[in-house]
Amino acid sequence: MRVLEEPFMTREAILAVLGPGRPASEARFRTLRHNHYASRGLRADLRSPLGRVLGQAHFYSSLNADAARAARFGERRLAQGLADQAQEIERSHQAEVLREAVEVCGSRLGADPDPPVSLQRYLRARARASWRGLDQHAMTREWLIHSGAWLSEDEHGDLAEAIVELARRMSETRARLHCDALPPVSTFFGIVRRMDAVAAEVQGEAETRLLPREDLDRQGLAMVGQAVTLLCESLPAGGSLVLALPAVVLEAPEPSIARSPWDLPDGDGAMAVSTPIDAADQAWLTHGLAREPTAVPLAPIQKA
Amino acid sequence: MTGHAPPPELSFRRASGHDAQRFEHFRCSRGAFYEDEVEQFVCGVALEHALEFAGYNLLVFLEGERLVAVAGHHRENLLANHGDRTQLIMTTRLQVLALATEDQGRHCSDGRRVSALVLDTLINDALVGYEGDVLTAIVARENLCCLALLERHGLRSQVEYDALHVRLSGHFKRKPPIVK
Repeated sequence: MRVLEEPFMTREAILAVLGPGRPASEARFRTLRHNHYASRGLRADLRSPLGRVLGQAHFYSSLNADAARAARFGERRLAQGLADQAQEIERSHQAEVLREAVEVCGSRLGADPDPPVSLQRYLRARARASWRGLDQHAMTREWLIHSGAWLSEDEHGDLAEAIVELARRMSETRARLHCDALPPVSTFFGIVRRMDAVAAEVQGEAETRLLPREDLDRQGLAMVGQAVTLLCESLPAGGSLVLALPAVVLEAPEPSIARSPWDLPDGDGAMAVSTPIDAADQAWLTHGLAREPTAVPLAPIQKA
Repeated sequence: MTGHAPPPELSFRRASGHDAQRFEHFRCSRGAFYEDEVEQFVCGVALEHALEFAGYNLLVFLEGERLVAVAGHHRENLLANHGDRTQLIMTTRLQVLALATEDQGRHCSDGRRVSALVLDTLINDALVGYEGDVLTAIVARENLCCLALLERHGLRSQVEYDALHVRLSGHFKRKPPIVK
């Protein structure tokens, strides 16, 4: 399994790192830009196949999240250094390749009457969890920035190559600028393997973490199989912050297939079909059994 | 005026050999791969299998003579291998729920969807004879409507099944009768 951070993020995601729990506002982002704590970002023009302007999507290198965090801790030089590097990355050839992919994907959306399933899911999830859910166009532009929107069109591997290169440059920059000097911060990459109404289990390369499902719902990421980045931080006055953001999955292991979902019991009618399950799935199921059961509904339809 | 259709005169029963023609003409897919899977199953092997094996319960939901929905359930033992021992969880699998294309999204006069009525009836039928039980269902990840419907009705736990499907499960229990 290879999960990497998304190369780009939205203005809202940067502001969520700058002031956890505070609403995103244009004014706060302008202040960041004024102090050179954020890069200029990239702009993708979205046009229909006939050339009609559909809108624009603005996005920023993910290094801006580190710059915003450094700004919050008062590390001005570090914040400015990171924002400068973010700008360098945004000028790179790889960033241009990905910007074009966003434009192509966005333009295709304008021509297709049925939006892709991942966009429908994103809009549904965010509509319940964010006031921005009311503005479907804004949410669609946010979705376009996620690699999940355009990576499936990567026939020659150019996009994956660009993502890997940008991830390498970002981690190199973090090491060079000593971002680890900031208070305890860790980044966890993984895939949502199990979830219920309360919690979600994210499986990383070496460990598994639990987080409230609501945290994934708010970001439109509550889906089994979704790759996520968890920005984890110990807060100075106590407690901790976990911010879930989308991630890129490049080499996902195929889950073992027990049997086709359409296989039917084929023994004696009185016998139940036996299906082997993963020990971790069994543990998750058993966990769920300890919760308050749902009342069996009355049958609203009469038996003939 | 509510804008809704009048309450449907729905009834349900076990599928029988007389339903063969209804199954043949039943359409529930609008073209998505997961809807095609269901339609192929219902129009293909579902009835034959239900007639052959008593352990597979196939229900038909009728409005007059018209087939509105098909739903099926069977017992399933989930076996987890822990090396030296095997743990067993007995469940009932909601194996199929197919609503005719013209009834998808249809509301009754009380505001409830036909799909919700069918699912409630299916859950109730699957738990006849049990005080409580675990219900499971395997659903395509892209089938957002079905995922939302099952979650609303109590199947809230999700685990990965294969690259295209997830297994949902929920724990159900009958309310004790009110003693006056």
